[in-house]
Amino acid sequence: MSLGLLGKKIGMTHVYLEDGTAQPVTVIEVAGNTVMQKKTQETDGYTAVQVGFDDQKEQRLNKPELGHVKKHGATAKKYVREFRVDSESEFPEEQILPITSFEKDQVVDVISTSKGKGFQGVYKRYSFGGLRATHGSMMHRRTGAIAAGSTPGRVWKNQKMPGRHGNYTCTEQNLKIVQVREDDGVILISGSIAGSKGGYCVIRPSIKSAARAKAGK
Amino acid sequence: MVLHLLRNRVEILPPRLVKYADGTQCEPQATVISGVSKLNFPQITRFPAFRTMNVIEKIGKEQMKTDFAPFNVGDNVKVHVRVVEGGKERVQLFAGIVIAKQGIGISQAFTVRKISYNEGVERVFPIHSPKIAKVEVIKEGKVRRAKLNYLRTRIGKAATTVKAKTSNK
Repeated sequence: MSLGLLGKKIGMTHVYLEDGTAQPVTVIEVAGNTVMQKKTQETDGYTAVQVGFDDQKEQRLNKPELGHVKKHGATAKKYVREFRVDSESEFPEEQILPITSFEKDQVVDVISTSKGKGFQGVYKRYSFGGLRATHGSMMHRRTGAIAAGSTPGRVWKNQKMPGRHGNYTCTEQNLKIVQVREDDGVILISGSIAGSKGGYCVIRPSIKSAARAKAGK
Repeated sequence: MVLHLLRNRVEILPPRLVKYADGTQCEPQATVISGVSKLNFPQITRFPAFRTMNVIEKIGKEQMKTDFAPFNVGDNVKVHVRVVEGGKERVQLFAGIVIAKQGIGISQAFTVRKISYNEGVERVFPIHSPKIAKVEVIKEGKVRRAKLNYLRTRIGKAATTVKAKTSNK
């Protein structure tokens, strides 16, 4: 049972499969996932494994972070996330999680942060269709009407309007692992993931396929 | 630390010898100018041995064909395409003029144009795809541009022929 890994998006390329079709893949660096802390029922109220990825200089941590690192005898990391486990028996034995905890053809979910787009209009932010381009129309990309008149006499909550767009936490579900390259410390995942190159991501076993397997039993 | 190593992975190849006109040989000398390797002879500024290779390039390189016969834009070619039909594999031919080459590394591709029943047909092939069995050059063409898009507006014989390559000697 693979716990999950933290990674860094390197970029995209494609690989040719056995039948000759080209498969677009995202290359994710996952070498050096280090277990920082094991959270237990007695001390924390739940069981989880805290994992760190990508070395950080100690001087760049603040005192609470450094204290946490020192307390558990870990090294400073840039990206720290937790993976929940059902019981303490599922804690990994290794200090550094191996890349091979994921196998070829395994189905995974990837959680990452999408690229920030800044302040955007409704055209881009919510895919509004826009208004008339010609025939004297002087409203092209605007929102149009946002509410009715005397009833309800106000704008509904969650009315879609312009604003900050992008920089969202995105989960891409059911991606297939195409290759696990131990020597390079990377895994190749089918298709794209959100975010820029150099962005961090969490790779976990797919929850949907796990649920399906459970229901099948 | 591991990440640092990966980022700075350098592919070490034995340096190719530089041959001069008088028959002498020497190893290429590299001088680094603003981060880009530049060599002491102008023809080859991007010598592979002096470039760092990242993982993506490496993944591409593993899949690239090494025994691929070179061809140029303007050549009349026959492309042998592997087709699987009903569980059987056979080779299909697509013959025409190479009107463009695009991409680098694993994503290199070329466009072949032919006239089929008075209708222009263009097909783009990735060079390194396993589905491309072979590219056979029937006739070398002599053209002065990299993209032969002007052939699209032509009709008749002018659309299917470019000047044949003749040796200068």
